[in-house]
Amino acid sequence: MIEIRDLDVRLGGTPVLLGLTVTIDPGALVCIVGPNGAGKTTLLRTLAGETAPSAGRISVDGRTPADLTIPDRARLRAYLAHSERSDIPYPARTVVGFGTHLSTLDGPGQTAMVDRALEDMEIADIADRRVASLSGGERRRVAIARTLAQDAHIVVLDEPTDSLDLGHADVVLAHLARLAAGGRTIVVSSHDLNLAARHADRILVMSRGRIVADGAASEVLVPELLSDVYRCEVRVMRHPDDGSPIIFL
Amino acid sequence: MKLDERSPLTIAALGAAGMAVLAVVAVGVGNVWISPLDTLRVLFDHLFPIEVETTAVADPIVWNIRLPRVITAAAVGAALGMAGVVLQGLYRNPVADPLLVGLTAIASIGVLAGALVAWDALGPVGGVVGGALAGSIGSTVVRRVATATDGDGARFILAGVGLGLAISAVVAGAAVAINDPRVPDLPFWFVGGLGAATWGTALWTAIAVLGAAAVVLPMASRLDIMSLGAPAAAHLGIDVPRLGVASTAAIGLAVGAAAGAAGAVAFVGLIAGHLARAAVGDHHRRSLVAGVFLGAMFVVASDAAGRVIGGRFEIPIGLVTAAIGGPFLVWMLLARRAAP
Repeated sequence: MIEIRDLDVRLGGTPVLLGLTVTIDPGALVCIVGPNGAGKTTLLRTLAGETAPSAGRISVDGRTPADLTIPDRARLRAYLAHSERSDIPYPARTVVGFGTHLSTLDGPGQTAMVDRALEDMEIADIADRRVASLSGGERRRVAIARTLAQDAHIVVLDEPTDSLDLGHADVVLAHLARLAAGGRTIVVSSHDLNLAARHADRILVMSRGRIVADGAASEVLVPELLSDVYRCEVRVMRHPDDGSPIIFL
Repeated sequence: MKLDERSPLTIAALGAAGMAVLAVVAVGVGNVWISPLDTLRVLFDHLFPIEVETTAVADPIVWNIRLPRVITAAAVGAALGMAGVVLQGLYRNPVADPLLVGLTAIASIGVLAGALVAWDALGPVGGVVGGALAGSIGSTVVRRVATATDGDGARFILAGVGLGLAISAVVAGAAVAINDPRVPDLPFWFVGGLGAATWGTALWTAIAVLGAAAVVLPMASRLDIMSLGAPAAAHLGIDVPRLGVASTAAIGLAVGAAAGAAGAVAFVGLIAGHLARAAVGDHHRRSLVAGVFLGAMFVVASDAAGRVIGGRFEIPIGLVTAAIGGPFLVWMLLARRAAP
C-alpha cells in the first residue's frame, strides 16, 4: 500500500506538487493521467525515492522510501523511468535477468522468472538479440520485462507504453492489470486516455501539481473535466462492448 | 566454442599460456640475445632442485635483469588492462584509460613521495608502495570528476587529461628541482620506463594487482548492470556510490603501483579494454580476466619492442604504447562518429 499525505515537492525552487494526499491500495491498476507539466513524473520519481519531498510524507508498505537502503528499496518496489539508455551491449535475456539481481530464488527459479517476463512482454523471440540493436518499442518492452522480473510487490512505471504500438501497449497494460488483480500495487502514468480507460481500475487525473479527480474511468474521464484540464474540447463516447469511455477530440 | 562462451578460468588459462610464451621470448630480447632454450635452462636451474647447465652470460642477465623486468612489465600491464575494463564499464566511457582520466598522474604524487621517504628501507619499491597508496586514495578525485561531468564522456576525459598534465608537470618539476638520485629521471614521469625494475617492483606490483582483482572480480555482475546507467542500476538494488568507491579505489591501488614501477604508460587500459570486449564479449567476469592478460601481454611486448628498436638506447615503454595507442584512439573516435 502507498500512502501519500500533504506532499509538496519543489524542483529548483519551483513548486511542482502541491499538497497531494492519496492512498493507493493493492489489487488495483492505478493510472495517472494529465497534461504535460501536471507533475506525473515528479510524483512517480518521489514514490521511487529519486526526488525528496519538500513537505509531507510518503510511505510504501509503511516505510519511507528515502529512509531505506538501496537494496531494500529495490526489494520493496520496482521502478521504471520514462527514458533509459539505448546503447546497452547485452542480449535482451541478460538485461531482463538484471531484474533478478537481488532475487532469493535459485538458478532455475531465476531463469523461469526471466522466461516468464520475456513471454509476458512478447519478446521471447528477440531474447538473444543485443538490446542496442532493437527498436525503441522492443527496448521498452525489455525494460518493462526487467522491471517485472524484480518481482516486487509494488511496481511503478512512468509512461511504460510511450513508444509502443497499439497492440503491444494493450498487451502491456492488460498484463499489468492481471498482476494488480493478483494483489500487487501497480501505478503507471500514461498519455493514452483510452488505454487507461480500458485497463485501469482507478484513474488519478493531475493538473498543475494537484490531483483534480480520482476514481473509476467512467467517473473521472468526463468531457467537462478533461476539456478543462487539457484546455481543448474533449468528447467522450461509450465503448459498445463494455461501456468504458472512449476519448477523442 | 567461441571465446565469448568460455568460462573465465579457461580465458585465464589461455591468457597465462600466451603470456608465458611471450615472456620467455621477451626475456631473450635486448642488447644480448638469449635464446628461449637458454632462458628456460636458467629458469629451471633457479626454480627446481635439479642441476641444469646454463651459460655464464645468460644466468645473471635472465635472472637478475630481464626476468624481473618482464614480470614487472606484465604486472604493470595487468593493472592498466584491468583498470581500463573497469573504468570503461563503470563510467560507460569507451575511451576511458587510467592515464587519460588523470589517475596515473594522481598516483605519481605518491610515487615521488614514496621514493623520497622510503628509499632507504624499500629502494625502488618505495615508489610502488607510495603510488599504490596515492592511487587508491586519489581515486576519489577521478570519481568526483566523473560525477561532476554527469555522464558526458568527452568532458570526463578532457578534465582528466587537463588534471593529469597539470599534476605531472608539478611532480616532474619537483623531481627535477629536488635533483636527488633516489628520484626517477624526467622521462619517467611522462613516458615511463622499466629500467629500474627489480624483483621487488615485480613482487609488489603483482601483489597490488592481485589485491585489486580480489576486490573487482566479485563486482563483475554489478558492473554489467551499470551498463543501464546509474539511476536504473540503483533501482535494481545496486549501491552505485559504494560500487564506484570500492572499484575505483581498487584499480587506483593497482594503477598507482604500476605508476611507481613503470611511470606514466598511456593507452594500455584503452587498448586492452577494447580488445578484451572484442575477444570475449561484454560480460565483465570474462572481459576483466581478458583485460588483465591482454594488458600484460601488450606492455611486455611493447617493452621488448622498445629494447629491440632502440638498440643500445632503450625506447621508454610509454613511447611505444603511445605510438600504438594514439592512432587507436583516433581510429575509435572517427569510427564512432561515422557510426549511425
